[in-house]
Amino acid sequence: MSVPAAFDYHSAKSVDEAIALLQQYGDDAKVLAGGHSLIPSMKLRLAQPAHLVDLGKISGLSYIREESGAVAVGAMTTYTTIEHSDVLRRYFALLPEGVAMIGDQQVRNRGTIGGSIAHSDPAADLPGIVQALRADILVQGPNGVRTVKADDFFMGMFETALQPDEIVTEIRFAIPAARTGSAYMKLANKASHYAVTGCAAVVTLDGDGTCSSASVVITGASEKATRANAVEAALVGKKLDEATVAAATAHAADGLALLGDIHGSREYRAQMSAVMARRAILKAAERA
Amino acid sequence: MAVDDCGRQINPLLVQGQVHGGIAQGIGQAMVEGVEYSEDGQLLTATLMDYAMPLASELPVFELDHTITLTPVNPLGVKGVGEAGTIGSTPAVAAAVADALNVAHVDMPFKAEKLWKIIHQQ
Ligand SMILES: Cc1cc2nc3c(=O)[nH]c(=O)nc-3n(C[C@H](O)[C@H](O)[C@H](O)COP(=O)(O)OP(=O)(O)OC[C@H]3O[C@@H](n4cnc5c(N)ncnc54)[C@H](O)[C@@H]3O)c2cc1C
Repeated sequence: MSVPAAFDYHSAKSVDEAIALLQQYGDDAKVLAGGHSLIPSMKLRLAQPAHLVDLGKISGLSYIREESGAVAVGAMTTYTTIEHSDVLRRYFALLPEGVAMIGDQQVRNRGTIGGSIAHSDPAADLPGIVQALRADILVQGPNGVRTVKADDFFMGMFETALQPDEIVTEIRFAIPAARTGSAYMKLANKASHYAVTGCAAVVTLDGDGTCSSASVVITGASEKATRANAVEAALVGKKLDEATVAAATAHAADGLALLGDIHGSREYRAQMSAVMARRAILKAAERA
Repeated sequence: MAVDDCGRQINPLLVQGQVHGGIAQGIGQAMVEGVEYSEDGQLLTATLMDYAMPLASELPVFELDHTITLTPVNPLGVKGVGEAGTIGSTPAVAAAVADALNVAHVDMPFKAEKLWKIIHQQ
C-alpha cells in the first residue's frame, strides 16, 4: 500500500488552535510536524488518522534561544537547523553530531526535534540524546504547560507521557558545568540509517580529570532509549582511561529487553551497544 | 581499478558512467543487497527502509582504464558496456573479504554482523 487513507487536513495558526482541534477530534486526530515518520506509516496504513493537525504554519515554534542557564529549542526546529547551530555546538556537541547522522539530507530538512521525541521510535537518535542531556520537555495541553523530564517522557515503543490532546512545544537543555563533554555514536542500519544501536554519553570531569558525573543512554537496542545506570555508576569517581571505560561498558546492554531483526540479532545488538558506549564515552571524555 | 573492453567507444564519457554504475551495483550486491524472508514467507526487505543499496558516499574513487578490441560481428566494432562494471567488482570484493578473513568462502552479502561472527569464531 503506498497511498494513505483519506483524511481531513487542518492547518493550525496557533498552539491553542491545534490543541482545540485535538480535543474536538480526539482519537481520530494526529499532529503533523515534519511528516517523516507519520506520512510513511499512513502510507503503510499503520496509522489512519481521519484528521491531520499541521503545526507547520504556527509561527514561533522553531527557534534556538540561549536564556537563563539553558538553551531552549522549539519543537518544530528541524534537524538541519540544529546541526548548524553554533550555540548548540558550543555546549552540547552530541546534539548537532547526532542529528547529522539521521537519515539523509531530505529527512534532515523536514524532520523536527519535537516530532522525533513525540514518536519515540526505538531506533531513533534523539530520544537517547535528549535523555543523556537530561532535557526538560515542555508539553502544552488544554490546562496549560507542564514540564516532563526526558527520563520520564519515553514510556515504550512509540509510547510517551503525552496525552492525546497535548503538544510538545519546547525542549530545554541546561547549560553544562565546565569540563563537560558529550558524544553520540551509532551503528546505522545500512538501508534507513536508523540506529541498530547507538549510545549518547555526557561526562563531566573535575580538576584532576576524575569523572564527577556521567549520563549514558543506549538507543536502538531495545524497545526504547534506556539509561545505562550500571555503566554510569562504574564511571563516576574514576579516571576515564581506555581500560576503565572498556570495563564499565562491557555489559552495557545487560538488563535491556533486546530487539532482534534482519538488521541485527540480539547478540549482535548487545555486543555493539557495548562498543558504541565505549566509543561515545571515550570521545565525550576527550572533549571534556 | 577497473579495465573494460567494449570495442570502439563512441561516447567515452557514457562508457565511464556505465562502468561507474556497474562497479557500484556489483559492490552493493557483495556488501549490502539481499532479499530476505521470514520463516513463514513474509518479505522482510519490501522497501528501501530495509533493503540497502550502495551509496555514492560509501564508495571509493574509481580508476578506469580500457583496451579496445573491435568485434568483427558488426560494422562499428562496438560491444555492450551496460553493467560491464558488475562483472569484476562483485568477485573482487568477495575475494578481498575471503582473503582478509583467511577463509575460503563467505556467502554474500557481507553484512557487518556476518563478518563479526566469522572474526569472533576464529
Ligand atoms: C528515509 C528515512 C530515514 C530516517 N532515518 C532516521 C534516522 O536515522 N534516525 C532517526 O532518529 N529518525 C530517522 N527517521 C525519522 C525522522 O527522524 C522523523 O522526522 C521523525 O521520527 C519524526 O519527526 P517529524 O517531525 O517528521 O514528525 P511527524 O512524522 O510529523 O510526526 C511523528 C509523530 O509525532 C507526533 N508529533 C509530531 N510533532 C509533535 C509535537 N510537537 N507534539 C506532539 N506530537 C507530535 C505526530 O502526531 C506523529 O505521531 C527517518 C525517516 C525517513 C523517512
